Amino acid sequence: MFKILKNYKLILYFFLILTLLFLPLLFPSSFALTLFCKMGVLIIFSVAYNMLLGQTGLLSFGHAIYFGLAGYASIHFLAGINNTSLPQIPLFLLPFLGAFVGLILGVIIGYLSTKRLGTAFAMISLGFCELVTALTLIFVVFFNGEDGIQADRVTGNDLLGFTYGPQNEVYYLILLWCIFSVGLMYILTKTPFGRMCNAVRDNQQRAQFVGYNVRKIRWMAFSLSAMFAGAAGSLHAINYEHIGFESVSLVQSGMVLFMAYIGGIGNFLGPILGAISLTYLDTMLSDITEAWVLYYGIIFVLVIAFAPQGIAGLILMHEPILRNNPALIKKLIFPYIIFLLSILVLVIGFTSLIELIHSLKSNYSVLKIYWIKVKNTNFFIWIVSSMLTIFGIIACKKSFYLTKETWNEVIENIKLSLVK
Amino acid sequence: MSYHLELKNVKKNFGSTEIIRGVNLKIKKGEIHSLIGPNGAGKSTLYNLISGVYNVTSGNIVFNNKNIENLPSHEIYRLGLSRSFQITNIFPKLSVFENIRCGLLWSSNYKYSFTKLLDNEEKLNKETYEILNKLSLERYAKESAGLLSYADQRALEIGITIAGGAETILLDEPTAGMSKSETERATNLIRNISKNRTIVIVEHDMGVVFDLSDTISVLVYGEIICSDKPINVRKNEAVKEAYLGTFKN
Repeated sequence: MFKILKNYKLILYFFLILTLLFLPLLFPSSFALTLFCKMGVLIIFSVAYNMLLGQTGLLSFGHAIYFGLAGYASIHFLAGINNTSLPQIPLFLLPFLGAFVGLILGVIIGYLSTKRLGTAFAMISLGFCELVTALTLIFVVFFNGEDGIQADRVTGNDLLGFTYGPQNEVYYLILLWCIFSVGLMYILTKTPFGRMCNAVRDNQQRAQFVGYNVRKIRWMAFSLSAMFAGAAGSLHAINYEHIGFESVSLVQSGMVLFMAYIGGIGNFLGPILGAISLTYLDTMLSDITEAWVLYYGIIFVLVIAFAPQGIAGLILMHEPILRNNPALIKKLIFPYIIFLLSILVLVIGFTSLIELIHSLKSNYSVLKIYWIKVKNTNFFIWIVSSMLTIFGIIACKKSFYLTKETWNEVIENIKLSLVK
Repeated sequence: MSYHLELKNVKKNFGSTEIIRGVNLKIKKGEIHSLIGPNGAGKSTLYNLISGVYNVTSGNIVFNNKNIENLPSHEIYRLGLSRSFQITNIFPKLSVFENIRCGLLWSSNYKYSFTKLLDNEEKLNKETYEILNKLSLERYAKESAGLLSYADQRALEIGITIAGGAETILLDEPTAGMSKSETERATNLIRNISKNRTIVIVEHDMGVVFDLSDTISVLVYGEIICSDKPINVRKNEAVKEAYLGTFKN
């Protein structure tokens, strides 16, 4: 049985990788490719971040430092390759440089900050983040201030005939690195070190009394996490051929925290889901509306308040049902549909309202809400949006209780069958 | 005669308050040694001093002829002194199996390795199952430790404490809050693990104390007032007055 399961997993991975390989053929538009590249980079970054947050229990507000500074180092190296003052290494090896820079920084800053835990640790990380952001504007020689630095990724000396001119070649570079580093990080969770990270997260006193120096564990986790973040930063720089101060800033640090949290920090796959969905939303929403940052924040608050296990947690909580009595899932389908419909109504109403309010500020009196062109002086549309919002809130509340009741019923059922 | 674990005039102050006021305690190798005393006598503080959670204010703690006062906890553990806690101290989100396996890692010399895959380490996993068997917890192996019943969590904690093969174990109220049958199960477990080990127990259940112990020490207001065989402790007038008197009403 176990063997079949193992093979089944292997087959799944095989098809997943195959799909990823053919993705550029399925979505050849440059918009899609750019989106995929961004996703790949942020997947590495958020999985690396979760090594710290989810696996070791350390909340950092400054993880973009390693991402961004590795990006700066890579861009400088790339520029050195461009003007032939530095050794002509193939481009696909450049993330190793980023990883190395991340590791060194992680070892140093980790040494200083892992002495403390919890709030103090978070504050120290915040301090470092502000410090490095300030540095980018002060040490203009290295960081070039707000403009950032550019370099050409087409160096003409890579293996396999890749030039990295076209975006789809960069896609494959990022894909390769993504599989490589996420795979490594996954393996890491299965090692004594990885398990002890979880142990330190759960109970550091007990971890000491099974013989481990908990500070050393935290320090190692911090350094390795910074290392992978560095590799991601390097790829980020290659992808855009540019790096700016925003990549080391609090905004970037907050972004990766959002991704890990919304995806689900309790599970290895969580940050991957978070990176994919938020990058998608980020790109799509910022095209459609100027208020996207607001929506982004609301999503974050709602996830923390109502689904602290994130997307992965919501999916995985069905696992015991599927394992013990899959037929019970059917019972949940109806409440889920009702609940999703109420959410949809609320979203339509609420976003229309926000867009209407937003439109008051700018000069446009005509705006587009969900494919409908309206004037913001039209009183009727205000009424409809408000009604939808209020109705949505009530419907959500009611259907939430309905869903919860059905859920409890199903779980009770499972528990009873387990006791027998 | 040299003792296995010896406390020499150990003192501990918190601010200006003296909690431990010059404790001398001698524990022989291989015995079950109980430490009793009224609430607030300093039993848990004494444990925390021995196991390196707190630093001593003055005095020495000698373990296997080595001074261990003020060493960090993990180093004391590595010398072969392990402990449990008054409040259940396990890894709640890890599975029961992994709780025990974590207890085995250091002593099986895995250290901080990040090249070995634990699921492939057959010997280690076999040992883990053997310990789970001893604790009669093997059927919960895959469940999260936080979901176990209280008594099972206590048993699991003892399991983690002994997993690394430490030859000296400090147990802090191992039967607190348990029903009669659960207490019996815990007592049997302690007796079971006491073979080839030195065990120190802090315990309020006098039945358990007099049933298990080879030696009983009585701690009152930060001082040991008596350290003797159970039968002599029972007769001791000072102990009766300070502790058992109130206990018997």
